[in-house]
Amino acid sequence: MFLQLLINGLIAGAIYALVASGFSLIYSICKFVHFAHGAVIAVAAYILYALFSLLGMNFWLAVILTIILISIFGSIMNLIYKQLRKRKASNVILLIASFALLILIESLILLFFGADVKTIGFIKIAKGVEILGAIITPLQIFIVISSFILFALLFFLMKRTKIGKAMRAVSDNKDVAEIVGISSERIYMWAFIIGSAIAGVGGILVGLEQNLEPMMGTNLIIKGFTAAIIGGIGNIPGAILGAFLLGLSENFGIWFLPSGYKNAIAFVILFIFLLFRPQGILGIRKK
Amino acid sequence: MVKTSKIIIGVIIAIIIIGGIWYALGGEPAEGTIKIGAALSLTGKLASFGQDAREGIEMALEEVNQEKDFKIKIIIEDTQGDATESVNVVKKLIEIDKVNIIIGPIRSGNVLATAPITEENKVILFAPIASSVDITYAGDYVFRNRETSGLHGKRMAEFLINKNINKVAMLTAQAANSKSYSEAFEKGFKENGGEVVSIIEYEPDSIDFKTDITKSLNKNPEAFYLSVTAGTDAGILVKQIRELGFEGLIGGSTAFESEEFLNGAGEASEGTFFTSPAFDIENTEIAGYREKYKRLYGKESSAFAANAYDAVKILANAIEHCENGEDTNCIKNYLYDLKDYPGIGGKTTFDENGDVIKPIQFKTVKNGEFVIYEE
Repeated sequence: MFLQLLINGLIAGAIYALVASGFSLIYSICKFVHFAHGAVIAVAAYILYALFSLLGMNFWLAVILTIILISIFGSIMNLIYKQLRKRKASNVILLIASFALLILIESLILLFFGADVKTIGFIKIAKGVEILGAIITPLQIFIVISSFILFALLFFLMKRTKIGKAMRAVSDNKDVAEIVGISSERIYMWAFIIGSAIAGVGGILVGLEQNLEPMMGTNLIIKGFTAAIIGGIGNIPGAILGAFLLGLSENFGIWFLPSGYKNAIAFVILFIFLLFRPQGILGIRKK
Repeated sequence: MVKTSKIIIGVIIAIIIIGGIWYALGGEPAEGTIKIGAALSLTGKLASFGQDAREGIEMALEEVNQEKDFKIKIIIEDTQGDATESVNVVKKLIEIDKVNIIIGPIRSGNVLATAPITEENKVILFAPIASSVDITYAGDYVFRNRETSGLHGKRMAEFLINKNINKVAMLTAQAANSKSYSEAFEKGFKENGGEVVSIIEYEPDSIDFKTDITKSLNKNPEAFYLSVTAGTDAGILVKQIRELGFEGLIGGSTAFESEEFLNGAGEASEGTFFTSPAFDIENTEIAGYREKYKRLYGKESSAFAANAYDAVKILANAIEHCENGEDTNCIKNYLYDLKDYPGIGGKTTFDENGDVIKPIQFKTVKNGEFVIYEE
């Protein structure tokens, strides 16, 4: 039973981590809270639904196209923020703009696809495989593994590649980075493209595992945001750790408590962190 | 022309256009037209039930307006399946549209939220689909032509006992209607000597029930009873129960009967069964209704659409009886006196609480379709 709860927690954690990592990447570089990231995930799931279920495209082709399209979608969003940045908009304005975008995009999904719940239906529903008495479906194994691979790639990108180093430079100090010749606008664009691509993978996996509804992004970004704060805002490995901590404690918590307390558990953890370790798991306290 | 005067002219034109539209749409209806409100969940989780009701209402309305020597106008508003929004909609219908009769809302929780307002204003509230036990005592002006869910829970308990099931795990949504199903089920199951090994109340908007199901499976149930709010949570629950390896019986509440359930649970929906109002589509007496409905909307009528159709017909008779429908006391008394009205959704007689008793049948999923359950 312990193992089953561990697996349930890992699956939930992997989904939260896919949301939190992209969100945290954008925050660490652009230094503002991009709530519309939740809607990007929802859009990715709906794009896959449109390409695969409505147009009958080959599944893997649809997946690749979805990731490409969602990266373009993310960069369009950056262009909107860019207009605001040009006018020297404060972070509060950007925050409100991101909320507005979240609601706008969700309403557009509602307009085009309707309020009823959609299912992608690529995977046949069957009993999962048994591992030491715990049961997990192949898709869920795939979710956990692909999230780990994605995080390893992201880590590699940030530490080893030129663009990753430039991203860290901008994240560290935008003005100094500009002095040495790094265009911060270009790096912002990359942050949105990569962050949205991760969101795209998240959207595809969530869409396959759960159902699609227009407001799915809001619920996801609330959990992703909480995970990012717990992990240390702007710290990507921290956000991933925070996401798994959140998923595991929710699922172990409701073993003892009624399941209605799931969200309460998440927010109690958030408060504990905000009170006793506001910099998060891996964050460094600013002097 | 200077810029300011351009703006002023623009504003004046805009006001004239808006005013014109206002006048055209908001004009008083022709003499002899009676307004009825309908508060339905046309978007949100229960959108498909709201849509069924709307179709039943529109079909009946067209017939009533041809048959009777008065005209009825139905003002349809969307409650989004939300209690707060339902209250807003009902207030709007009473205060602005000045209706005396409201059909709906769809969800039990929404009916319970709006009933105090209609009671206070002596407005008839006629619910065609909501089935919570609590609605029985919601008020004197509250009627419904849907049997209470208490009957469904009780029948399901007897059914499982007859199948030699002694240990059941229950998953119940935190919603007024789901609780009536599960309370009646639990009572009936225990009275017949069965054991309820676990009862878990879940948040209906959640999408991950794996740990709830793990908890239930830990108690080794022989069957599950799911009292859900809509086909969406039913679909996810059944999918995850089967994925976690449970192979026994899964019984459910009436909300299973929806497109969302079949899509969400996929192959896992096969063999699940649930209680449903005994609306007999094969009945030759309603063949005319059935054909017309199919022609208009391209699908079979559900029991809920038939209830909504009956609601309009019964209310039209009540309005005719009470001359102009202004006197809701007269309409109320007419409804309480109604005996064995031959409705499409079953014979209708209201008891002293404004409830009906209608037969219940069992249905199951076979090859991706809902069929009547046979032993």
